[in-house]
Amino acid sequence: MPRFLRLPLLLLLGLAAGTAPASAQLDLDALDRLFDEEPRVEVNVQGALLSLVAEASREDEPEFAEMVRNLRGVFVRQYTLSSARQDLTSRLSGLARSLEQSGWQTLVRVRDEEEETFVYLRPSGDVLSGLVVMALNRNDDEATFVSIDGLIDPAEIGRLGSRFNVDALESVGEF
Amino acid sequence: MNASTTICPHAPRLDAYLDGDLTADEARAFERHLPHCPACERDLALAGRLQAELAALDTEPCPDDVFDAALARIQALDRDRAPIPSRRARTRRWLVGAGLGLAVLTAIPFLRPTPPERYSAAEVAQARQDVELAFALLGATTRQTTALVRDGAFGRSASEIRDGLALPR
Repeated sequence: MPRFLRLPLLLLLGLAAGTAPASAQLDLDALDRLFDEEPRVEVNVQGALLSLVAEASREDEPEFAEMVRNLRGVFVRQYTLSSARQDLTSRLSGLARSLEQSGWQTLVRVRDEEEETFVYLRPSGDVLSGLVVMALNRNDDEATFVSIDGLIDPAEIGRLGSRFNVDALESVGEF
Repeated sequence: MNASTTICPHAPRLDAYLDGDLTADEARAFERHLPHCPACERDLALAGRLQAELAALDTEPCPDDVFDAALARIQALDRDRAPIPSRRARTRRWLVGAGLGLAVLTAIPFLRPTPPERYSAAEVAQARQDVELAFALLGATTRQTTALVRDGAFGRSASEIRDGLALPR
């Protein structure tokens, strides 16, 4: 390659990396392929919209706003578990392996007759830079996947998770 | 056309013989064949007469301005003609052009100013609800997980889960 082209190409690559959008960490396209139906719940909030959410929450929910300000993306998929294609568990294990190979750590892996829950964290010093939760609930016929991308304080995630209880889902409206 | 016409093999040497450009052996061979070749004898006589008549003409010196004008014209043509680049130079020039073109094409999407994203108040409110939903699902999942672990079936204590997720005791 001619010498004079190297620097411009490096600059362009750096620009491309810097402008790359937030990643869900969990392969959402792969998730969609595991089910025969569209997700019942789908959330994709990232970038500027996420910043606006933090700003809008600053006065009435300052802790929530502070946490959201450090995030790059929030992604949710919830499917009807009965619409899952065959070998869902083994496919999910494959996705989990991909996370582990990318440096994610398993916090929780719980299985019983009615439920399966997997929680994965990506440590970054004293904080986390990613959180993925995969939960299968046969009683409720739900398969839920939550992926948070960005700096997460583990202490905050627990407190906020408790504050927003499941009953709040009923007031969100139709999806 | 006369089917029996043959060309003398010595005929191409006629001009060279007249100009004195043949070797001694070649000239003697040419002269030895002449009595046996009427065509070469005739052509030699004609060429010799022509040469003699040209030599008898008066010579005219070439005027200086003709020579100078011709020389100036030749020099001008040399200046106008661009030097033909070597193959290596042409290859280098092609690579440079292709590289610059590729760099420009690659840079265009990044150099275009990105318009700032604009969201309505309703969109921001919906996004906030969506994020709160995500955290609600996280909370529900961790509570369920804690309950499962509390039942003691999986070897990981509820306190470990609480500490790991900073759930209130």
